[in-house]
Amino acid sequence: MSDAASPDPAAPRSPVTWLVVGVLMAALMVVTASIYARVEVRRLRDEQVTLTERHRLDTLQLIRIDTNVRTIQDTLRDMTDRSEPYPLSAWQQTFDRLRVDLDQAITRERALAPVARPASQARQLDEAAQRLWEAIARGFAAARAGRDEAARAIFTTDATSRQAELTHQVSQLLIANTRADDEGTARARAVYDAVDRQILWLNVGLVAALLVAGGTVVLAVRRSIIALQQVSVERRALSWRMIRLQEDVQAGLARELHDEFGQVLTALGFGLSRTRRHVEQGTTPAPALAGQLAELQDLAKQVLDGIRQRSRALHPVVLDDFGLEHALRSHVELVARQTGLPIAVETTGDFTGLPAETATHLYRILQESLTNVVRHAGASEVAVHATRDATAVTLRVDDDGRGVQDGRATAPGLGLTSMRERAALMGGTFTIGEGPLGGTRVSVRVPVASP
Amino acid sequence: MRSCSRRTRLATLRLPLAVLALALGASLSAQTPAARVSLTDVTREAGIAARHDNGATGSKLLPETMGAGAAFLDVDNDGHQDLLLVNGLFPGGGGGRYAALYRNDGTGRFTDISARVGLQPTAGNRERATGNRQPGTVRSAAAGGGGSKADGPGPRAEGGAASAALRYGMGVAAADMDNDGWTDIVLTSVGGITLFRNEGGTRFVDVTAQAGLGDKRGFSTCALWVDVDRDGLVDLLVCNYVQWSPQTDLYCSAGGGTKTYCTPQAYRGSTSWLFRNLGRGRFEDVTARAGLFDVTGKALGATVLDHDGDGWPDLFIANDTVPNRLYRNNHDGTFTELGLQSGVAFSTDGRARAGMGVDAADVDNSGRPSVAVTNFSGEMLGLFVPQEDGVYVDSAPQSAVGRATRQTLGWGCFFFDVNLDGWQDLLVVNGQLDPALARSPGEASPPHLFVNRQGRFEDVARAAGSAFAAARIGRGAAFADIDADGDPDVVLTSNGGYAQLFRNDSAPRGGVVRLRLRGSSSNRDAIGTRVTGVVNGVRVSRMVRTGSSYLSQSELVLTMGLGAAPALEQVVVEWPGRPAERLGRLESGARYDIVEGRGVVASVPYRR
Repeated sequence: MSDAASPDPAAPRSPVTWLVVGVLMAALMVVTASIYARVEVRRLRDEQVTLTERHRLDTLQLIRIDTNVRTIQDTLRDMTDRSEPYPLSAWQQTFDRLRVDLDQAITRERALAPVARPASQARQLDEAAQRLWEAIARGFAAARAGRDEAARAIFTTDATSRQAELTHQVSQLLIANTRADDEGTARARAVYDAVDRQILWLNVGLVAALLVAGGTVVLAVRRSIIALQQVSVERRALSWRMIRLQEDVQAGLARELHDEFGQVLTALGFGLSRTRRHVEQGTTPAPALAGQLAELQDLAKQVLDGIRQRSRALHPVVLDDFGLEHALRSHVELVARQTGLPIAVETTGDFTGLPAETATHLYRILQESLTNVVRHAGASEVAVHATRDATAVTLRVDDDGRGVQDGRATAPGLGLTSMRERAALMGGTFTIGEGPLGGTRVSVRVPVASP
Repeated sequence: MRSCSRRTRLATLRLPLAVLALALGASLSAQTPAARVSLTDVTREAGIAARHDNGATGSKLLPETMGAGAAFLDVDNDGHQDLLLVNGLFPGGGGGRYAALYRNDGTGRFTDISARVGLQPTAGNRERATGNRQPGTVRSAAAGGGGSKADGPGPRAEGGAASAALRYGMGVAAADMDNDGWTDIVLTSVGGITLFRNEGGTRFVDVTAQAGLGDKRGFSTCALWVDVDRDGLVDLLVCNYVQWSPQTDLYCSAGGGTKTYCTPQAYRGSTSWLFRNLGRGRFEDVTARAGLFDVTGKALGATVLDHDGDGWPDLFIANDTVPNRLYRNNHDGTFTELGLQSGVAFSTDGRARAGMGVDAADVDNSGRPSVAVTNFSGEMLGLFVPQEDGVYVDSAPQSAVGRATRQTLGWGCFFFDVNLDGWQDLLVVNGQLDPALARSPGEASPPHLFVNRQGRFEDVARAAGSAFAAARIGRGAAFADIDADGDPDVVLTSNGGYAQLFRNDSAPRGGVVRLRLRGSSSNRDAIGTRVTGVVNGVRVSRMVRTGSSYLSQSELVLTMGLGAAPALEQVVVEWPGRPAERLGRLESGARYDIVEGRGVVASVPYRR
């Protein structure tokens, strides 16, 4: 198990990142949907306006055509009912004007028609108009020749029937226009429906994306809460353990002071009293006195050693005196000497100038690591690496022992928690996992300023 | 002419009010203080009390809503513009008189002389009209009014037939038809034409039948005098609207419940008439020969213009729901219709609009006339501006004129220089078709007064006076200088309501030169004469015309606004068919009487 592949259960990934990603995704989706909807609606509106305007203009031309045809019908009737006092020839200019108007209307209508008319329909319309104008021309030719009755006959029969034919063609045109209008409406409706569907799917996608983003955020928050609860439990346990440890340490110290130093100092006191009596009596030869004093000196040394050992356990004075690098090496040598384990030490970089708190925490982490190795690993080889570079101090302790089953220890001991807390206090990272020697690697990396 | 002391007193009162108005309403009015147009209602003080009787009894007969017009004319040659307001005779005796004629004493005060001069039918005529009554369609009681107090002899109906039938009064045109020096009158009506000869300024004689017009029956609307063949005798154009009679009146309804006035689509069109003046009081119908025969037409307005700049009068006829017509004079007594080719027949989107009133004038001082045509609400006024090759472009949609008139139902309209700045402005009177239709798009509505700011129009009607801007069922409109102060005053008629006279109190106003022309070999009223002159480096042009607007006629005296210029320079008078007469420089501030071939024969300075 590598340290890189093993997430630390006590340091879950921040949910803020997920929250931001989620919000950004949602915002992006909303903006995308809005832009899409606006563009689509604008496009539709423009198309609709263009189409409507074109159809309106086309309809106006159709009305003009229809009006012209009806006016031709009325004028033919008026011309032949003899109600006006003017000669038949006077009517020709009216028909000439109607013809120009009708021709122009038909031409414009064709240019404006939203859908192309069938060629056959256009041809039939043109032919019907042509036949009408020919009939009217024949009528006026007869009128100019003085054959008014013949002219009237042409107007009332031939021209009128041609006009009816043209009226029929125009009505076909109007029907086609109505149909085209309906089709146009249907097309517009289809386009609207398509856009409606697209916007619906977009909304579905948007909701889905929001659900995913929201779910992710919820999960992240849930994970964070659980982690916080776990950390809270651990901290509470740690506090209890610290209190108990303090009690234990004080009790142990008291016991040791009483059991060890008390007895030794008592023995030292008795020895000194006995030696004093021997000196006062003057009966004891000097070599014997010297021997007694040597024993007493050993006892005093024993007391001093004991005090020193416990003093180092309570506070690594060596740190203050010689710095982290020396303290690490000194402790490693002590453990190696006490346990007989071969412990390799390697330091890289300049460790001077580190903050005292940082040095103390690193020293304690080393102490705890080695204690764990000695107590639990069953290792036969240990390697300690300490490195300081421009930005951080890294401490690694590798062993070839049993290793840990899972970096996310089910019930982390006090030592492990203590190490993690110390790393966190320094703003650093702490990992535990499989090491290169086959056992465990404990690694801590602490950011520091340049030496 | 009002007294100076009164003018001063009014000015003294007006000054603080003007200052207050400026202080309170500066942000509301886009008009600059330097060009404040003001039209003051002086109807009552002028002595005008003519209420148009439209004969409406609820039967909703189409003619009830169409009238009536007004005309300024100098009946007695005293140099002051008198006012004629068309009324009518209805089957059943309604109306009471053909028209109300008010004589102007020169100060803007008027006296009703209509009965004295004979503009009132005889009892016999009324009885015969009563005999034509259609049950349920016409009023049964005579409206009496001023007509019952005749203070002079009745009209001498020499033909008799002209006044015997239906006479829903519509329009008027006035000119000296026989060059005898006195202004004659033609009245149009539903029923036909009534032609009155002015006998010495004291009395009008009905000469309809004598003139050969007695048998003309139609829904006659606009009329104008124009010398189409330049023979020195003014000819007569009479518009006809639709084929309608009380018997053929149709039932139309907007909501299905009550009857409303029908739109003209319900009726067949009717040709307008052109009568050639043969002299000796006789007229000949040359409609067909001239090429004006058009049974599809539904004409309500007509104006004279020189479309092609050849000096011959061309004709523009505004048709209701039918394409407008532009007739070019072929110089041989015939016309060629160019409405479609010239782009004036339809709106820009190809619709035949409801043409009502029309006028033409050189509004951009280009020397070529533009044409304004009022239309129905939702159609916008047509403002046809001449381009190259005899084509017009409707510039209204791109201008304030189009925006302002988009929802108004326009009737009378005319170009005139209301502020005398040398640029011709445009007045448009609006009014609903059917007062009973409260939600009609053309409800009684205020008029428009578009001031021409060097080619750009701006509607200043609201700022021109509350009485002027009031909503009315407007129809006719005409202008003339009624108080001899040199600026044009305005009369507006209302269907079924009182005519209103507005005095032009615009201030400051520019200088003015007014020209009263008298033809010698040309027709005596100089109709068709074009006058040009240079104002501030720009050549402006005016033409003496009758007709225009809606059923109405303005004064024949030409008004040339000068703005700040001290004089009208390089004045040229182009009499019909005669060599141009150069008059040189005319100083500002006077009316000049000009006689053909003799130049300026008199000038009357204005007191300003």
